[in-house]
Amino acid sequence: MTCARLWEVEAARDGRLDAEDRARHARHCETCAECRREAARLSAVAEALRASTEGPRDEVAARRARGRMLAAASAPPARRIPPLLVLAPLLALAVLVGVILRRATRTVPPAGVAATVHPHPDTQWTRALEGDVDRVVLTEGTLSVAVGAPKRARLVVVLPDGTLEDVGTRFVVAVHEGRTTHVEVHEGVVVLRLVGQPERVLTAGARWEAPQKVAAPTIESVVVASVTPQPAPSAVAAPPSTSPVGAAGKPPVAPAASASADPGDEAWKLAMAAFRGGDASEAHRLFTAFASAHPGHPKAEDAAYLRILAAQRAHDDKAARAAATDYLARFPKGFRRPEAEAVRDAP
Amino acid sequence: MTARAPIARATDQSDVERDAELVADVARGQLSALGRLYDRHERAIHRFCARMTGSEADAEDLTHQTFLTLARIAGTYDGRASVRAWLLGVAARHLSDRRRASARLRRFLGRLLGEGEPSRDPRPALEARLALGAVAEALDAMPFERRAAVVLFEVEGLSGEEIASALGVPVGTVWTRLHAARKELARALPRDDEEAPR
Repeated sequence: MTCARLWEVEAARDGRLDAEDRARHARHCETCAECRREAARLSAVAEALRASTEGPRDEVAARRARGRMLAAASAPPARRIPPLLVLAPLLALAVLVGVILRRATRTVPPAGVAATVHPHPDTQWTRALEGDVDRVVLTEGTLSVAVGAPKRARLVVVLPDGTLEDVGTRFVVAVHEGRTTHVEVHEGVVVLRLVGQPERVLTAGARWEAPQKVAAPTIESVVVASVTPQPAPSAVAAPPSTSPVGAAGKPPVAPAASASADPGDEAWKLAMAAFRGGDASEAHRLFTAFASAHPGHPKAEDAAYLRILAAQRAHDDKAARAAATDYLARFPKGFRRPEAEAVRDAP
Repeated sequence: MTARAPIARATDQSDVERDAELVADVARGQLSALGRLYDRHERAIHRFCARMTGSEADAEDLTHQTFLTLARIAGTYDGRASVRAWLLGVAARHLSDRRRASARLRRFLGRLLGEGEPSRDPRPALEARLALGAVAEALDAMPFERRAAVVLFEVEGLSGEEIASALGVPVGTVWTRLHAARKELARALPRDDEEAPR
């Protein structure tokens, strides 16, 4: 038979009974053998537990442990390495990998060259620095080219059917099936020389598209541009007169030929027409007039540089040197500074 | 007959107050106070850890960790529990952390070696088991939570409320664990159906 108050034994041991209940439980145990056995059993468990716990203690070891603990507690806290320092090597590695990958997908200019060439997917091209010519050979596909300043070498893009010389800063050129199909100038000036065709000076905003049905010249007919552009019949694609673009302006794409009421634009068009038409002296005069009349015009720097070229084409070294000096004075950080310096300092 | 023997309890009010002052001194950086607390409670902490791990080396390491933790968190002692109960709670947390880490390591090694789920018992030394006896073996086999409750109650003399505070569980849970632990331990004892002497 099980005592109905057997649970009180454990409750009393746990301290869960209040004083009154504890007294009643004690009185009950005096007459209940089962509860006394239960109490004895719980005590035996506790005694066995304590007996199995207590073991001989090495006091010397304990004192040593105390000394170690106090020494450790008095030592300055271990310097925690800031997470940034932990991550720094990883970040450096990531940057290194990024640079390597970037180099693999983008051409960084060779030493001494400030031009950056971005090939579009599947573009076939090569690049080499030959003397003062940074030669890019494009056989198929599209290149976006940006020429920073100062630039020490001329950038010439060799096309299957001609060359494209950078006289500016940012442009896109495309070749398809052995012929040049598209040139788009975003900043500055480029000179496009295709075999059998007049030289074209394309300025910022200008866009040239190949005619649909033109027999493709062969690659054997490529002509590499000389250091100094030679006087030649030129065809100039003028920039859009309705959206003037500065040296760092947005790249308008629309071809231009519309008239403009802006006197600066008109003066620019006149000077460019003379330059295009091969009248170098007149072009030089008009660019000089443009520079003095419209010093704040978005084309001012281009005009200042073309003024140098026009003077050179007119074989007027003195005027070319003066134009170069004027360019450098007005645009000390200009994109064509190296070329202007070369002309100014020429013997 | 039902009362517990007053083992190693720091129930004396003056002791409790002295302990609290020492903890406050430790919080102010007094190393001597830490030494005095170590002298007063190291044995209890070591005993508890040894009982829980069955390893002298582990017990020593855990005791070391417990007092270093005390040095670091002395400022957080709020005086609600006795310092001994609080320290036992700190030791219990270290034990629990180590148990989890050990279980993870055993599982990892088991998988690595292509074995089945390894034994829950980290101390397979048969000699040690035999030396501890049947009760110790039964204690060793029971879940960590029950083992901690019964050791803290029956060996270290903490009250149910103190154990609840130390282990971070409701006091009702402590009673439940105690009851289950006692039943398991009682099975390890030889049955004695004779009436206990009055």
